[in-house]
Amino acid sequence: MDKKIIELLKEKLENGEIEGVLGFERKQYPEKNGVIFVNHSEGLKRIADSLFNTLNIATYLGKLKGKKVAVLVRGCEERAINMLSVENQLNREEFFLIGLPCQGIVNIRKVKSLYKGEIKNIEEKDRLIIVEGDKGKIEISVSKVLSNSCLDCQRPTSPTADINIEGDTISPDADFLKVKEIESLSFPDRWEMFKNEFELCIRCYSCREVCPLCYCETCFVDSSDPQWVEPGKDVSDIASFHLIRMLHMAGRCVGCGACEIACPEGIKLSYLTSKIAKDVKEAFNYESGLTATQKPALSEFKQNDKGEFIL
Amino acid sequence: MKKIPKAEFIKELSKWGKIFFRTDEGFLENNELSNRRPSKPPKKFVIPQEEIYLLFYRPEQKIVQKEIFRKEEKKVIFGLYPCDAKSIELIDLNFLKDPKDPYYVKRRESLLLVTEACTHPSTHCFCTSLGDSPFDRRGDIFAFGMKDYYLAEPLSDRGREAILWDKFANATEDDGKLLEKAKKEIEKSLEQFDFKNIHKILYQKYKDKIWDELAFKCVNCGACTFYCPTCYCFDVQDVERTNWGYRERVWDSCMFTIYSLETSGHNPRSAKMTRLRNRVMHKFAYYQTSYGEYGCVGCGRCIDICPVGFDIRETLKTLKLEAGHD
Repeated sequence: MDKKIIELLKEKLENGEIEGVLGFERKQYPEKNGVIFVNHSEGLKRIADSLFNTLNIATYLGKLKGKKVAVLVRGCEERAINMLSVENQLNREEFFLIGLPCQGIVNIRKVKSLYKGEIKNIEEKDRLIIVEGDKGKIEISVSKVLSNSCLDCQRPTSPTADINIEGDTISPDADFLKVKEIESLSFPDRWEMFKNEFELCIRCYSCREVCPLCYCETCFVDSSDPQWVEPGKDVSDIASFHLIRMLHMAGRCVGCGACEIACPEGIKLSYLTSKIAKDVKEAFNYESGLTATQKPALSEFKQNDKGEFIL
Repeated sequence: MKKIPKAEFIKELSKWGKIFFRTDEGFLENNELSNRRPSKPPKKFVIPQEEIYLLFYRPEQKIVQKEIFRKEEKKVIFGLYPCDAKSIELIDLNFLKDPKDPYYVKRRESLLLVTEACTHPSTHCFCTSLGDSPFDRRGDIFAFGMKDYYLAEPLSDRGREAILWDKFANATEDDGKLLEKAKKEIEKSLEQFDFKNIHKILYQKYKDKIWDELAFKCVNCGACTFYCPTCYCFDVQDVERTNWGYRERVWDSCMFTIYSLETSGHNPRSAKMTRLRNRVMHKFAYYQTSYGEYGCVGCGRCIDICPVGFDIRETLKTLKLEAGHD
């Protein structure tokens, strides 16, 4: 991590301005980088920026309510914090946000599909990842293994962080390319594709739990009276869960892609999250989480809103 | 022990039932045997994710109930590593004690477990730390794969009856030595943590503040419980339609908020930390108290699959250190 930032955080910790720092801990493959809360300056060296920080750190802020915390954030994470603040889930002023120059997130599934052997070690170097294992050593360009959501990222830099660290960021050239491809499919083909994705679902709800904006105390899928969604493996119930969740996410989802990477079955949830982002952008010229005051698209009415969907 | 040519062994077993082979993803039909512990456990063969067992309907004014016993076809689970075979034995402890679960009994009787010695432990494996071995003889038949042969022996009546063992040659002393050598090598290659008395430490540390720290990472999704070979919790639900419906049981997870939610609205495990603690306690303390065995086989799947990097080995190690043990 940037030396100047470490010094700054040390100072803030020692003079009591903040009670701790929230960031990711770098682990060696196959262990995963996880979120840690550090409350003494000695621990700061454990925190590191990495392409494998696959969660959205905003998910963890609820666990630190009432504490003054410095948080290292990427663009999507800061937008999630703004969104949570708009929805009165936290107080943006309590946090000191340090914006990281985001190079994107690597989806380990993509790495595994390119390396046809047992991976022993993975190193990150500039825009490359170096994979070592029983089939030798190969270098893979980060752009080939980026998370699908990062491919559609419009804003890798934090819009309203307290300070932003300078540096190269990801520069995605695709503009909802995958969504447009799916939209061009015929209805039966599209249903077939989504059905195949949904059939993988084991209903562990990892997608929901890692989502910073899925904070409902009782999720609609857990409600038994009324029972909106039935239990079990029927694809209509599974599709109901994912589609209703997406409707709740429209105009709120920040497109971090944590859900897709967290899914143990590798369901392509980004196909849905990118679609809602695209639709909301087209209908309301809206992007979620740009400020801590901008209301969610579907919570607000403007006279010049397009009303195409109203009969 | 018998020495049986590979193709012949498979042929013999296929007479008993449909064979499901160990693959990278799970246990599947008509597949080549893989050299890795499958990412999914064989749990679905004993506890399907969704099981309908009662049908009810209302012809005119009466209510009719009909119990559903599915016809179970005979299946051979081929090439389970000893940890997976043990996991089924651990689930047995719960479902085959009195009163026995009749649906479980029926499914269990339709299975022949053919265990193969594990020669390719994964990076997250820790079975030896729990006092087990990748060469443990478990299941109905134990086999050790060599180049063209299997060294195999039956361990149960079902295993003894599955194959005409007499028609195959006995393994030689050299074969036995080879097996012993492989066993030592593989056992040595695994990292050892010694969790043998961890239940005592867990009971002692139940109220310790350390749990908040340990549970910080966990977001309480159910991935670990669904991928765990020994987690068997289920939820019973009635699915209602107009004038008919059915009762089914589906996988449940102690990580979910509604798992312990009571009708009154009270939730004895409302805090996320308490749910994680309960999972660890159940595996490594309560199961030990109830059945004399840990509810974990050290397969490491929960570590593989966890989206937030929670590592059960780290948790147990930290608790041991906190309690003043090395």
